[in-house]
Amino acid sequence: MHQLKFALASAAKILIRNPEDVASATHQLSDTRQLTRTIALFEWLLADSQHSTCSAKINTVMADVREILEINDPTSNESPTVTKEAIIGSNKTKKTSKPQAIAKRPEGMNREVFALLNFEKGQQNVEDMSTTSGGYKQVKAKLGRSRARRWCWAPFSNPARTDGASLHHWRRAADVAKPYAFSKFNIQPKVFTYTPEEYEQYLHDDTGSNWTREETDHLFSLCRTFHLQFVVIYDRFDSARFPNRTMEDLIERYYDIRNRLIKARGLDEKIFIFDAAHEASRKSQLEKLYNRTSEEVKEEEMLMVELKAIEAQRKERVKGQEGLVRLMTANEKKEAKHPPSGRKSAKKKSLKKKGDHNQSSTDTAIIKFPEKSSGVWLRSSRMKLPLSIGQKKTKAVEQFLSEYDLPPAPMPTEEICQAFNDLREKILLLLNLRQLADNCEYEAQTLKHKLEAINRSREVLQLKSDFCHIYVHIRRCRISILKFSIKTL
Amino acid sequence: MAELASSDGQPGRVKGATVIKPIIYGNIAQSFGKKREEDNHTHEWTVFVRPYKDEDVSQWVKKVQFKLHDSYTDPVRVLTSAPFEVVETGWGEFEIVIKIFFTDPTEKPVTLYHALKLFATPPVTLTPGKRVFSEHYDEIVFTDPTHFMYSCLMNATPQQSLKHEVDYIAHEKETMTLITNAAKKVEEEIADKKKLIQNHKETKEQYVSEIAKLECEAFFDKCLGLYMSMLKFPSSKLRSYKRSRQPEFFNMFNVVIEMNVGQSYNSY
Repeated sequence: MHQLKFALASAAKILIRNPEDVASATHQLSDTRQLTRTIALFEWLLADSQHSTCSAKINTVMADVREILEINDPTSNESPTVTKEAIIGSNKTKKTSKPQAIAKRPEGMNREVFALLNFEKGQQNVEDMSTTSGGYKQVKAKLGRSRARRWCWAPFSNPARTDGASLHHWRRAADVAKPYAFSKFNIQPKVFTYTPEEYEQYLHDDTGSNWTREETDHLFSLCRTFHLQFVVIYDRFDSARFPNRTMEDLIERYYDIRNRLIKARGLDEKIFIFDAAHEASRKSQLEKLYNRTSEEVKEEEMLMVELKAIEAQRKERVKGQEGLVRLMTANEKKEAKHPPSGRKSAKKKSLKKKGDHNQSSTDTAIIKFPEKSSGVWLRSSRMKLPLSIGQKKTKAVEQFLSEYDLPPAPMPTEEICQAFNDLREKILLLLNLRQLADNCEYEAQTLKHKLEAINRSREVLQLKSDFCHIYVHIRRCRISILKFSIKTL
Repeated sequence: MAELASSDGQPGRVKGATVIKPIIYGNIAQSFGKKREEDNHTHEWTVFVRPYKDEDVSQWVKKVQFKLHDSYTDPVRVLTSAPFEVVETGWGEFEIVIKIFFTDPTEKPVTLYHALKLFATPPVTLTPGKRVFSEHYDEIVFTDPTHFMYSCLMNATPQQSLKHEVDYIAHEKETMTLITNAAKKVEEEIADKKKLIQNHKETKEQYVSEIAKLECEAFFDKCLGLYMSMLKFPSSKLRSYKRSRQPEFFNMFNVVIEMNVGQSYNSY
């Protein structure tokens, strides 16, 4: 808000002092709301302005702004809305500042083109052009054509008032008889009352917060006085006579009593349950949230961004692992598909296995060739690789096929079709495995290098310490030799 | 082969029936040997669709539509009776879209794409009368055809094979052997790669465990140095202890570290 005010003030100052700079001033205002307000201000200033020579320039700037913001030109022919300009300053500006009307960008003309016209040729030129043609001339704002309706100074009574005071106000002559419209906002909440017997019977406080009869009476009188505005009630609660209560305590007590009375009297009213603990925690949380410093807010945002990044990374990793697992299982399934041919006993098992395989293969299949339902189709259409495989892989498969002298689309008999699709599935699997193998190798290599680096550093350390030992040993030796030599000497 | 069961599934379809109609489509082209004066055309070509086996195709084919290049007058040629072929002259190759409509209009038409071939590969000089051909085998498969379609298809009983430019039976065998050979090799490589991946994984795990061990030891050394300096333990003794790697020593420092860091060396 402060920014906005400042921007407006500075813009206005600039406008008054040096209208040439309006353009730059306007472009500095980035916020849309700011801009719309500035426009309103400019319009007002324009209407009032004595600078007839510069008003044209302001107008173009405003047209620019409107164009950018996609706001309808309030003075254009299409939307005859009444602006301050139209009402207040029309007689003045219309006469004195012709350029204003001229500088209006004609309907349908490109903004940039218009700017060129205006700035390159000079205003005089443009003025001449448009005054002779007259085609772009502005039509007067159309105010309402219907006849003005009468207003009259009438007395009225407010049904919400109990003192019967009669006041006067301006109303349309047709509406004078109607009741006062604002009385409906005077809503009186229904606050229960209880008799002493009722209190004795039902309303004794059994929650352990030690509400006495007097205190409860006090609370209810406040409730009645302040229409259940608990913020006010809390403020006016007599904390000298009674123990200190939080607002939640007050609300809880009130609704507790209300609910009990409803139950006891067997009334058909809605029961509200107030959870004081929850409300208190909510408020404290809100307070904490509100009291954060800007650094804390920034840190939180940063943490959130980091968390998102970590989460994304984790997902990617999981995805990669899943892909790996799927590849490996698909690999095994492929092997299971070719059971060892031979004895009859083995055959039964293989049959079972095949059944199992068929079920799972639909899940793990790498390529999903289109399943055709009833109708006519070409055999060759079953051999098309689905687009989901991706161009790169499709190319790779074709390359692979050409290595084995196979065309990308061989003669499509049923047998070949099946075999060819199987083959390509295998090729894709192989391509994936190749990539996987490369990845694994790379990872192993990096680990190996890491290990070597660690080992090397350890070796250096070892060497250092060994060297120290040797050094110490040599010194000892030298000392002993020295001693020995001294002795012998 | 097929049961007439119109009660279940889509009405009017022969459930479980599959009729396969092999077809040959393509073109033959013949060079004039020179450019024709009036329109620069160099070749005469014939694009055709015919059954693989000799049969009465008109029983089940209603019409065949050939969509030629737009530069031809009437680029869409429709033929309602056999032989389904278009004879034209031209100088360039383009893709011809062939659409086959069936006698039962509820069966959707089938679309074939044929790249017209005029020039032999590898290119040879224009010799008049030399024939260039390009043809493809395909199969039209009718799964669960309508009753009407089914009867039409059954009416056209295939006779003996027609003569084609290519011996398709031999070609099929050849392709099959190529595919099986390729499949074998691919399978071998898949197995190899699998083993390789397994190996890489194992070495990776080995490296990881070794690195962990080393890092752990480094950490331990650091801790040891720290605590020993705190306890004023003589460093020369420490070194000799470390060299010996006696279990009592480790246990002792486990206790020391556990006390001070709250984490056991073993847990690393």
